[in-house]
Amino acid sequence: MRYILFFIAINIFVSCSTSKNLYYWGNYENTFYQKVNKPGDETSEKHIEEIKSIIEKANKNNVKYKVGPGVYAELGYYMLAKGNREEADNYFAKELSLFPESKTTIKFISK
Amino acid sequence: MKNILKLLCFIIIVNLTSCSSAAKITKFSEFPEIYKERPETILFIPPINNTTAANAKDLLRTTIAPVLSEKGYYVLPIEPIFDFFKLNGAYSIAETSDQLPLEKFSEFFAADAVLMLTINGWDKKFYVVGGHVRVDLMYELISTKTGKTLWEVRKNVKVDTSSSNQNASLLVNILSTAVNTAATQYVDIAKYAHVLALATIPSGFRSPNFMKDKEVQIKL
Repeated sequence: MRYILFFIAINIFVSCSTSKNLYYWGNYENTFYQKVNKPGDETSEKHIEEIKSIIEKANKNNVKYKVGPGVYAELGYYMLAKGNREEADNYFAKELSLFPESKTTIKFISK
Repeated sequence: MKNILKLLCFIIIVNLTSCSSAAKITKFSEFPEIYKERPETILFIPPINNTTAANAKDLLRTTIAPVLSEKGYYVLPIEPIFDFFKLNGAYSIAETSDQLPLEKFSEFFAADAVLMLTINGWDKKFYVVGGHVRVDLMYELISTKTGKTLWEVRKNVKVDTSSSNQNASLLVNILSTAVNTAATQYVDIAKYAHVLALATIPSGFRSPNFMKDKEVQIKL
């Protein structure tokens, strides 16, 4: 009897669940909002750190989650603003290899 | 034994009904154009803010990419593009122009579609204990090739902000956030609104559900 009830519970739970996430986003929205809301070196650096940590974590368990669209592109854009051309191009290349449909936009951003 | 059979019947019925809704509106019946065009890249342009909540625009634009990407679309990088709009005096383009330069969006960014968001309500109410935020949003996905509306939704969301409230704890569970400062709470509300609104959008080409969700029933 107990098993059957357990079975029902599992069934209800599973039958409506959606598929697992495609990408890993960490704390992206929070650091991004802080950067936009209180512009400055401190919030910018925190957001860059968070993006780097997202990339590191997503690459560690890349079977489960991947780096999301625009993440490498955004980091490349920030590096370009800092004058780190080589590092920036590296990230743009990563974006392009993960998401070939980003080609035109990357060309535009990386100028 | 009879009881077990009854239970098994119950399980089957629960399973059959648990995912169905009363209305017979499906993603395909409502948005056939998006299945025809199959846009891959989406340009999110600066939202139209019809409210006095100055930070609503920022809250909604910093939270859209993760939610929309999960639907299987390539969301063009938000920050570089918003900077571009600002630098070119086009930050209020959606608010000020009657006709969006769809061809330019296609040419510059290879955007297949433009997502336009209109903020019609962002009202905070505070009580002695807790309070709530009522959010009223309109989303429209427009094809840069045909100018047609591929998907649209209007979403009214009321989120209780008192921590003891069930909705709030549900919200926290869904988004699995531990920090509970005011700022992160508003970020969560913005994200929650996107999640609810985007429930009706057909899946994009990077989703395992791409072209498989035509018969999924939706509530408008």
